[in-house]
Amino acid sequence: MAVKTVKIGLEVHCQLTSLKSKLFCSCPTDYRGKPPNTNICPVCMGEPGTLPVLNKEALRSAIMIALALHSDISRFTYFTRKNYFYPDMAKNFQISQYDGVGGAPLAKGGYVVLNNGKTVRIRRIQLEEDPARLIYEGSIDTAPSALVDYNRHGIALVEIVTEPDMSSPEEARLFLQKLRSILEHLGVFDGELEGAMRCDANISLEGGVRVEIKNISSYKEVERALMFEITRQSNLLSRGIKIARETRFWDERRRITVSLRTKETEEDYRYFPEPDLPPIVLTDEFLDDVKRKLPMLPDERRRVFVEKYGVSEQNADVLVSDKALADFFEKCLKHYDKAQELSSLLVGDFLAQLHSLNMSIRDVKVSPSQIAKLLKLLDDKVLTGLSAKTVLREMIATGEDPESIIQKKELHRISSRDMLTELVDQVFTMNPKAVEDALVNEKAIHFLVGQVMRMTRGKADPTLVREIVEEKLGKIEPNRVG
Amino acid sequence: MPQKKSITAKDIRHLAWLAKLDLSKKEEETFRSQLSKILEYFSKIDEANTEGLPPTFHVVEQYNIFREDEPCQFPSDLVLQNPPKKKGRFIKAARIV
Amino acid sequence: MRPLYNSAERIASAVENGEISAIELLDEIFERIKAVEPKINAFITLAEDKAYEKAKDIDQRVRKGLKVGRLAGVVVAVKDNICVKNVETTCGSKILKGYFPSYNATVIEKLDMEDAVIIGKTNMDEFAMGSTTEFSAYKTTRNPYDLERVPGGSSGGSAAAVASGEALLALGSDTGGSIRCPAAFCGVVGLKPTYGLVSRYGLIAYANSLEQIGPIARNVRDCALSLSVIAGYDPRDSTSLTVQPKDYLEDLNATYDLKGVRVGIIKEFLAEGVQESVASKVLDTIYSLEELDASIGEISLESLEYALAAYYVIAMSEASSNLARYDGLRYGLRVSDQGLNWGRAYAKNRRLGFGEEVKRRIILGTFALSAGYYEAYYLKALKVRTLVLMDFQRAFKEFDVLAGPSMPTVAFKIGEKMEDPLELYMCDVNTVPANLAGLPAISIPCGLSEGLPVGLQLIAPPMEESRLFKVSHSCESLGKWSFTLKP
Ligand SMILES: [Mg+2]
Ligand SMILES: [Zn+2]
Repeated sequence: MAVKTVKIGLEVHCQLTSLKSKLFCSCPTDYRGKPPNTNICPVCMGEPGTLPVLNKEALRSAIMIALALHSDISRFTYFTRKNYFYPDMAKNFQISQYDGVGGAPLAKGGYVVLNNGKTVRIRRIQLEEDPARLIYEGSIDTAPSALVDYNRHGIALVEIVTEPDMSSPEEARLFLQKLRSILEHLGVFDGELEGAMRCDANISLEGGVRVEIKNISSYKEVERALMFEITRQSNLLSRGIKIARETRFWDERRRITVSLRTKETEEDYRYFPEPDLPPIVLTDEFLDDVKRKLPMLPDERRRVFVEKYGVSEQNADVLVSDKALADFFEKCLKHYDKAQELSSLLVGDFLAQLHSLNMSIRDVKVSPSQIAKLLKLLDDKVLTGLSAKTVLREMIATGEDPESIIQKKELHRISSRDMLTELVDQVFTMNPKAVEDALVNEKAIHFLVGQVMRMTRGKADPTLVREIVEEKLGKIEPNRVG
Repeated sequence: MPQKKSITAKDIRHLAWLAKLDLSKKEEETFRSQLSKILEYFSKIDEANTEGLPPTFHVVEQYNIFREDEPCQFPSDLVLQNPPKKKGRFIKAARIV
Repeated sequence: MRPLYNSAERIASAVENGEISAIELLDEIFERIKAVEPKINAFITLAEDKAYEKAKDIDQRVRKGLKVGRLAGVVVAVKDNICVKNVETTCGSKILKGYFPSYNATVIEKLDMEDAVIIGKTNMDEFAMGSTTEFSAYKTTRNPYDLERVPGGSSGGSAAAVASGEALLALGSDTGGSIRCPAAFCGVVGLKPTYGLVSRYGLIAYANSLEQIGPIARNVRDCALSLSVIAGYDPRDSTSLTVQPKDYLEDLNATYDLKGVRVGIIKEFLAEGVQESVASKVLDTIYSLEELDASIGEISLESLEYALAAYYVIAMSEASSNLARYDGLRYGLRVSDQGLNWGRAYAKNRRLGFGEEVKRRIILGTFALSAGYYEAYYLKALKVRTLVLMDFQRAFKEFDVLAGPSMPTVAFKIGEKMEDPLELYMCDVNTVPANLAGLPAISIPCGLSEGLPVGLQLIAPPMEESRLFKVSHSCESLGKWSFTLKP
C-alpha cells in the first residue's frame, strides 16, 4: 500500500554544548569520555535539601536560539515542574517549562526554512534539564536491570517543538541539518559531540493517529527510524489493522521501533511552577542587546556567498549547511580568490575525501593556505586534476604541504611531448584492435588516452595525450579502408 | 470551575499509580473515606471570592536570580557513598520493561 | 558557673573568656542527656564524636587567644530535616534510613563559622508532616512539662531538647507552624523568619514556597542571636532575599518603651475552638503591654477563614512533587526488587518507606495537581493566598504587629488526635496564615494553664524581625515568664 500523506513533527532536544557548567548546578559539562557518575553533585543527584540555581548563560543562549528561529519570546516566564517517574530522573520531576495553566515557555512560534524551500513552523522553545543516561545490558526490553550514569543529568537542554509540517523522513533530516547549522552559527552548540542533539518524532499516516518515537539520537537516525515506522504502519494498514496510539522506542542497534506504552495509561504531568526558582522578567533592553550581538546566520551567509563572492547557489547551500565547512571556505578564500572554483573543490572532492577517510572537517589537519596552494598548482598546471585528488587526500590525512606530496610521490604533470609520444606509441603497439576501433569510434580514443593515463598513474596531461593520439590516428588515416 | 466529586476507590488507585505508591486494600479503603472528608473541607476555598485576583506562586517578589556559568567539580565519591545498589560507578535500577 | 542554667549568649561569652571550656560544657550537656533523654526521646541521632572534636578545637583557639565565634561552645540541636554532612539525616522517615548527606546545609555552615557545637539530630514528624511529632518513624517525643503529652510538632524534638536542657539552642523548620507549635507546647521561644531571610539550602523540602528554617531558644535574646547567625542571602537558594546580615541583638536594649507601637489582636485567632484559659493568658499578656505604652486594638482578617484549607492544598501539592525523589536509587531505603520492573520496584519501596500520613498527603497533593482538578484546588488555593496577603497588608496599615494565641490549646495527650487527620490539621489554624503570606512570626511563652505552657504569637510585616524581638522582649520583661528546666 502506497502511503500518500505523512505528517511528521519533531521534538528536538539540543544540549547547549558551549556552556561550562550544568543548567542548575555548577558541575562541569565535559562528561564525554569520563567514568560514570563523575560530574555529579548533591544538586544534580537530587539529594534531599538541594536547590537549583539558574545558569545565566543558558538563558542567554536559549534566547539567542529563539531569536534566530523568529520565535516570540515571553517577557515573563518561569520554570515548571514536569512530574513523572523514570529512572533517568534524579528528582522524579524535570525542571522544564510548560505552555498552559501554570506555565509559560521561553518562546512560542517561529519557523525554519529548509534547503528544499519548505517552511517548518516552530511551536515552542523551552529550557530544561537533560535526564541521566541509562545503560541496558542487552536491549531495553530484555535487560535484567538498568545502569544509571548521572554525568549527563542536568546539562542544559533547549527543547524545540515543531508543528507537524514535515512530509517525509528526508525533510525531517533536512530540518535537523538546518537547525544544527543555525545553532552552530550561534556558537551555542556543537553537533559533532555524541548525543548533543536528540529527538522524539511523532508521525501520522493518512491523517490517522499519532505515534510517538522516542530516543532518536541524530539526524542520520531520524530518517532511518521514520522510514521503519512508515513501513511498519503501512504494512499494518494494508492488512486492515488499526494503528494504536502509542509511544515507541527507537532501538538504534536493532534498527527497529519497540512499543513502550500505549496511551491508555496516560501520564498526567501535574505541571506547576517551580517554587525554588523565581520568575524571569526579560526587558526590551536585554533582548535588544542579545539581538544586536547575534552572529550571522546560515540564510544570510548563503546570500553573502552567492551575491558577494559569486558562489553558485548549490555550492553555497552545501557550504552553509555546516558551519565548520563555511568557516573553512572563508579562511581559504583569504588565500585564493576564485570563490566558485574553491567552493567546488570543497563541496566536491574535499567532502568526498573526508567521507572516504571517515573524518570530520573538525579533525582535518590541512590548513586553508595549503588548500589555496593546491588550487594554484592546478591553475598553473603543475599537476593534473586526477593527481590533485591523490594530493588532497594525503593533505587531509597528514597536513603535509601539496608541493612535498607531489615531490615525494612524483606527481608532477607530465607534459613532455616526446615522453608522451613514446608512451602513446607503446599503447598503440599493445592495443592494435583498439587502434582499429578508434578510427571509427570516439569511445576507443578515450580508451587509448586512458591507457596512457594509467601508465603514468594520472600524471600525464590528458589534453596533450589526446592531441598526440589523435595526431597519430590521423597519420594512419590515409591507409584507412573505406 | 471543574466539578468536584467524592473520591472513588478507582481514583485512589489511579493517584497511587501516578505517585508510585503501593497501597493495601485496607489503606485504599481508609484513604477513600478520609480523603473524601478532607477534600470536602478543602472545598471551603470555593467560597472565597478571588475574582480577578492572580495566584501567588512566589510570595517574595524577586526576579532574575542567576548564577554565572562557572564550573566547579564536586567530590563525586561523597555522593556515591549513598546509593544502596551499584555496579562499579554505575547506580543500579530495576529492569525497565 | 552552672552552664545548664544560663542563656546561650552568656555561655558563649563564658567560653570566649575561658570561664568554662567547651568540653566541660559538652560533658555537662551529655550528662543531662543521659538523665532525661530516655524520658524525652528528643533525638534520632547524636553526633557525639563530631561535637567533641568541635569543642576541642574551640578550646584550643581560646587557649591560644585566637578569635572564636558568636556562638562559641553553644550546644545546638538540629532538626533531622536539615542536612549535616556525614551525619545520618532521616527526616523522621524510614525511607531515608542510612542517608548521609554529602554536604552541609547553609545554616549548618553558618553555625559552624560562629563556633556552635552541633550535638545531634532531633526527632520530628515524618517529612515535617504533623503537629505532634507522633508521626515520626522512629520514636515519640514527650513533652518535658508532662511526659504523657505531645511536645507539638513537627519540630517537637528540637523544642523538647531546648526545654529539657539537652541543648541550649535548636533549629527547627516551620512550614505551617512547625516551629511555633512545639515552642508554644514546650514553653520556649520559636521564630519563623520572613520567607527568604534564612537559606533553605539543605532543608529537606516539604512545601518549598511556605517553609523557613528558624531558631528555637530559651529566651528572646538567644533567639535574636541565633537569627543573626543564620540569616542572610545565600547564592545557593534562589529564593533567599538579597539583604545585608544584621545583628538583631543590637535593638534589644534594656529600655522597654513601646510608645507608638500598635498591637492588633486578630479576632479570627480567638474564634471557636480556642481554649478559654489559653485565650485569657494570651490576652492578659497582650494587654499588659499597655504598661509600656503600647496601644492595643482588634482587627478582623476575613480571608483567614479559608487560610487553613488553602494552606493544606498548597503544602500537599508541593509535597507530592518534592517526595517523588525517594525511589531507593540514590540514597536511603532500598527494598528487594527481585522480579519487579522499575515502576513496581519504586511503588514497593515507597510503600514500605513512607508512613501513613505521608502517603495520605502525597495522594491528596497528587490529586490537587492532577488534570481537571488543578484549577479548582491548587490554583484556587494560590488565589486565596493572594487574598490572605492583601488582608495582612491592610492590617499592617493599622498595626505594627498582630497578635493572638500560637495554638488554640495547650499540649494534648499522646494518641489523642491520631484517629482523625482533619482534626489534627485544624490545630494549625493560627499558624498557617504567616506561612501563606511569608511573614515573620514568633511564639513566646506567656504563662501556664493547668501546668502547661501557653504560647503567644506575634506577626510582623516582612523583614521586621527586629520589631517582633522588641515586643517579645518587652513581654519577657514584664516578668510573667522565665525559663525553667523541665522535667
Ligand atoms: Mg522535553
Ligand atoms: Zn551537579
